[in-house]
Amino acid sequence: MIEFKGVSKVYPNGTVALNDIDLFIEKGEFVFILGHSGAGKSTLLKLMMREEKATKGTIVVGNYNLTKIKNRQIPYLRRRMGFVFQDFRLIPNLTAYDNVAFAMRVTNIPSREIRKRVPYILHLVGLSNKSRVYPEQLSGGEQQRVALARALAHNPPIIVADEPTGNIDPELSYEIMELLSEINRLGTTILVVTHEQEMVKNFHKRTIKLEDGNILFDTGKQGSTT
Amino acid sequence: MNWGSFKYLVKQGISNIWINRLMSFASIGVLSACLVLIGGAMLLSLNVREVFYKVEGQNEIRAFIEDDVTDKEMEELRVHIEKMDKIATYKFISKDDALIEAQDMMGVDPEEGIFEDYKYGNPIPANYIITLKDISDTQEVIDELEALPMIYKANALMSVVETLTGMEKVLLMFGGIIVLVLVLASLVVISNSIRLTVFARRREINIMKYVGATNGFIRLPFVVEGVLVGLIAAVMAFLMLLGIYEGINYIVDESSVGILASIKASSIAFSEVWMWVLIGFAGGGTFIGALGSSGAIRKYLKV
Ligand SMILES: Nc1ncnc2c1ncn2[C@@H]1O[C@H](COP(=O)(O)OP(=O)(O)OP(=O)(O)O)[C@@H](O)[C@H]1O
Ligand SMILES: [Mg+2]
Repeated sequence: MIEFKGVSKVYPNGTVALNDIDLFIEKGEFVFILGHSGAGKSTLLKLMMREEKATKGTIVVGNYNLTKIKNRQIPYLRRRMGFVFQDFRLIPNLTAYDNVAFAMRVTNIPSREIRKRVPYILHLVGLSNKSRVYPEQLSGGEQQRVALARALAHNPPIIVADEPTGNIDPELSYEIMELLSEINRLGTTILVVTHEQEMVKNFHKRTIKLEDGNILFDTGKQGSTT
Repeated sequence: MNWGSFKYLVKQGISNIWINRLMSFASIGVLSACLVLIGGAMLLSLNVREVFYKVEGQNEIRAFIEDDVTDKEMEELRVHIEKMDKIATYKFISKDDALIEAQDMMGVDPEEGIFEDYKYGNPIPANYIITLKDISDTQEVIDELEALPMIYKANALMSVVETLTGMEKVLLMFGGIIVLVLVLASLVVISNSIRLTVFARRREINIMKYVGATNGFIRLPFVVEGVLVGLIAAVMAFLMLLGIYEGINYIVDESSVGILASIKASSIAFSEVWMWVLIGFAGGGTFIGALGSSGAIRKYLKV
């Protein structure tokens, strides 16, 4: 499903963010990515969504070989994934409902399906009562959940979340992780970048630790014990 | 693309115009001014051409025939002139008619005039009065006629011909330059205006890219914006030009100055050309709007 072979990323200013990474993630896995600030976690995700190009090595996501992918195929690669960004990236002048609907709209999903799907997803992340509210009137955790709802909306086979619990109190972040875990049980591949060691311990999932652009350890595939 | 997306895109385009109303207003203003000038220049040049044709009608070539041509040669000459496709009309003036014409022109009585002496030896040659389809062929036709043995001289009021064709050339060149400059100016203004909308929406564009919207989809609302600006400008320019044209016609109608009246007589009525003007404006507006907008977004599509 996701494969990195000898991947390095050197930014134009000379920073080596990733150094000869090998990684294989199977369909349906749940993976935590751990690491200090600057370890290269976000870079790893950016390479997967082709926000950045690898300097060396090959990356395969689903049917797409990212070394050979054409520019016009990139939107379709991204539709196979749902992203939750470290900084949410919500549109300030759209309500929670419209933020989710917008993402579906711009990928040509029919209106009828959008009207059915958005309330369901907002319900799933516990925001049914906030659907008409604008991002600035939402708490950090609520915004995070809108971002999560947006990533889930088109039911992608892969979900990638960069610190989805970074701004949330422990109780709520546990709930969100439960939700992701639930979605994972239905067959979706999930990658979660996090700082929270506690969380990683509680969930007994495959954990990859990055340090200075190298893989420090990889627990490999874990049985689901939650 | 489904109906929902289409509605969404058009709504976005309209709301773009509104969000950015000041610049949209400026774009519409500049573009419609540009269209009015282009349309005005074209109508002017059409009318000038029309007047030229009038003058051309009066501007004829005279081909004078040698006195000693036989009837057979005369017929050969007629056939030759008939076959020249640059010639619109021709008329034969016999020696006798030519003499009468010459006497008329000088205002003398045929019975007692200065030509009295020539009663038995008419000095005026028979000739052809020839008019051309295109005034700019004058010299060429004269040369061709003079090469014929039956013709001893052909001439025309070349100065009039040269002035008119020269004027037309200059008009065309200046018109072309002005139109080019105006089109470029409109393009710059529209594309800058849309650049502002793009800037205001850069966050959305960025997010659209990340959730997998295609470049075409992202571009469309801005193209819609540009095209709408172009169409609004086209309609406004049309109405302005109609007003100006009718206004000028009114002034000309009212005036009694001879030259204006003669221009009026050969001018083209707006009702004859309005559809072409409207189609031209709509097409030009749409084209400039779409071109201006697609240039404006390119930078933001790279993520
Ligand atoms: N666009 C860029 N240009 C230059 N260097 C960059 C760029 N983006 C990231 N880096 C550098 O690459 C390294 C890895 O960055 P990355 O964002 O992947 O870290 P991270 O593990 O996500 O950190 P954090 O936990 O703080 O988000 C860092 O040293 C960072 O400074
Ligand atoms: Mg990061």
